[in-house]
Amino acid sequence: MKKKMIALVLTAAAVVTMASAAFAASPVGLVIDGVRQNPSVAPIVENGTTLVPLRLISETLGAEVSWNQSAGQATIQTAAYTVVFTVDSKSYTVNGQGKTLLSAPKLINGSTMVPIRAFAEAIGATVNYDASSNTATVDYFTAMSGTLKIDGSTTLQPIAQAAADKLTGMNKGLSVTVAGGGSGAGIKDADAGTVNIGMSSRELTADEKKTLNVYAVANDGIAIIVHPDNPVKNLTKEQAAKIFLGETKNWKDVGGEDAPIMVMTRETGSGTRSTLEEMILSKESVVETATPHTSSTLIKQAVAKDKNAVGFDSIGFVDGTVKAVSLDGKEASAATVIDGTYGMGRQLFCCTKGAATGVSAMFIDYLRSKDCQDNIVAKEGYVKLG
Amino acid sequence: MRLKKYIRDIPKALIYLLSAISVAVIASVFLFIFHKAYPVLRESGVSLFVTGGFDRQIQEAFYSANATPMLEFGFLGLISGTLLTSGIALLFAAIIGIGASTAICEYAPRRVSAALISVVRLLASMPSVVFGLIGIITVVPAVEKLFVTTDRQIEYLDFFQMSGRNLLSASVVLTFMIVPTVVSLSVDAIRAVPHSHRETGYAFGMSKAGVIGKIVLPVARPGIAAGLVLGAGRGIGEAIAVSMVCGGIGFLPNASLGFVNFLAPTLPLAAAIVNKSEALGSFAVESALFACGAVLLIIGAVLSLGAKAVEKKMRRMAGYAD
Repeated sequence: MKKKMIALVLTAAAVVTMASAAFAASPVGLVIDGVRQNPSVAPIVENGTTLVPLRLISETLGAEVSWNQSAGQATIQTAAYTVVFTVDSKSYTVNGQGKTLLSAPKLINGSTMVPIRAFAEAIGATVNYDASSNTATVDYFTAMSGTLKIDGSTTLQPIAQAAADKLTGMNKGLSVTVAGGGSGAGIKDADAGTVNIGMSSRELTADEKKTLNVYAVANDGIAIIVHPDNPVKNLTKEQAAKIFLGETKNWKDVGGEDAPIMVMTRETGSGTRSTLEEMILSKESVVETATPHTSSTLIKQAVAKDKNAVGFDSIGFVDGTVKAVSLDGKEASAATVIDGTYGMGRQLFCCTKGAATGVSAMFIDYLRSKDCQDNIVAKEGYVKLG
Repeated sequence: MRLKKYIRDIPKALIYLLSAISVAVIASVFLFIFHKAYPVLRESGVSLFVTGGFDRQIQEAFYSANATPMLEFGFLGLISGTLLTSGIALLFAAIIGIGASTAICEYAPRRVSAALISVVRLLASMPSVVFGLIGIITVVPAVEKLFVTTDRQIEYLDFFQMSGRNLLSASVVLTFMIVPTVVSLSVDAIRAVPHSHRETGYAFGMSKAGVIGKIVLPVARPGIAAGLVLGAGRGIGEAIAVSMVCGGIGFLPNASLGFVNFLAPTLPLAAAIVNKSEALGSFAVESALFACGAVLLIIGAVLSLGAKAVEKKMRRMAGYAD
């Protein structure tokens, strides 16, 4: 009995030590852009190569991961690079070019572990290993320098501005200017090369996509806004369409008071207007008598000032000064945009002439990173990328 | 000796060169604008000047593919907007400006007039966006309060949405901008009238008002006219301030509406370029906006030639030799 017990204890101890020898021998720390990461599956070191969970680095560095289950292939895309890893294979590709790893990516507890150095260097980040603290340090968004000019959609402007403020705070040699002008201007300027990145709140046309590369950076919904004192709470898509086409002219026809409907719109060229026309007006134009405004802020102010006004704006711009009516009974909110029930959800884009490179690509990667999506996109009232 | 002559000629040559450069720059600006505007000018032809519908057309042009651009435009609404806002503003400015400059030169005590003149010159150099802001903060709400009622809004809803941003507000804001120019040139003209002229009048027993009305103002007329022409130029070309208060729609005045036309939105050519620049990505819109610029140039040229002719006639009538 006793012998058995001792044997059991010894075996158990051996198993534990062996296990910890395999894993705990390398409790390697990981710091990305100055922030210590605590992934659910700890990074491991194999043959001198540090393997980290793919999801962690892709989210942190703003890369998009797509899986090919049957081939065991993970395709990781940043704005500038496409890296393909295959589980249990030492060969990988960077923008289609074949390369060889020292240690193959592998699956641990359902997490794909990839070599951090190979990945980070493939996308242009710098990696340092500090032996004394056993820590791998990756610098990507903290290693940006140069100048960036951005303009376009006034819907996206607050996001880009907040991102620019954050990145210029982290990088001494980086200067970013963000301007508005509307989606049309952003697309035109990006194509003409007068800005590095154009912002658009509408899908680009086939013509535009010939020369421009497009990157989705946030989700959004278009809210129909009225004055806070307006008793109307809900509009059907059909009612909304009739209002913006000028067929319904009095609030009493849609359950409001006997008052004229003053339609506020955005100027031609606004991505928000284009998207509205496409989504609920079947590509027809907003009524000609509607008062045009040149930015998301101005249309909101106009609606906030006029008791009988109706307008539309990104849900990121809706605040206490105006009231968003629900559409077909669905409230205009992040939740309904994400679950797809809200009738006017859309994506917001950045575009660059040709594929994004260098600091432009890094800026777009930052916009798509978890940090920006959580702390800027969601906080400003927009909807995170799926 | 010869060297000295060369050296003496250098400044002259430099001046010729610089003048040639500025002429070339101006000419290339004209060429560039008309080159860019050409597609729309060619497709629209005369109808550009005699038909309306700009707001709808710009929307169609924006959605038209670059391969098959929509280039048929009618600027009548914009041209009437330009001429109406500037015309009304000029009328207001002439009344206010001539009155003010007479008061400054003939009635105000020396110290007061010196102070007023410096204020006026300061106003004349104020950036137009400031006038636009003043317009939004004061003129637009005032016009709204005075003239816009819910009943009127309902009555005219089929024509336009009545708000404080309209032809009247745009004209008033333009008046603010033109008056300083008119006043400062008129003051110079009135001051240039020799004192002996006035004394001759008094010697004939004329009253002060008579001297001002019959002698000073007529003699100063060419200078005052120059001020009005400059003011008109500023009014026609003003973009930002007007675009902030005009309502942004190229509404074509409708005779059946009478005075209500003053409460309709308007969109002068220069403001159209500002407001519609959001849609510049489209080739057709770009050409249309350059066409606005070209039409502005044409209007400006016609007006300045017209003003010259009028001035010539006035001088003849006043008995000056050419």
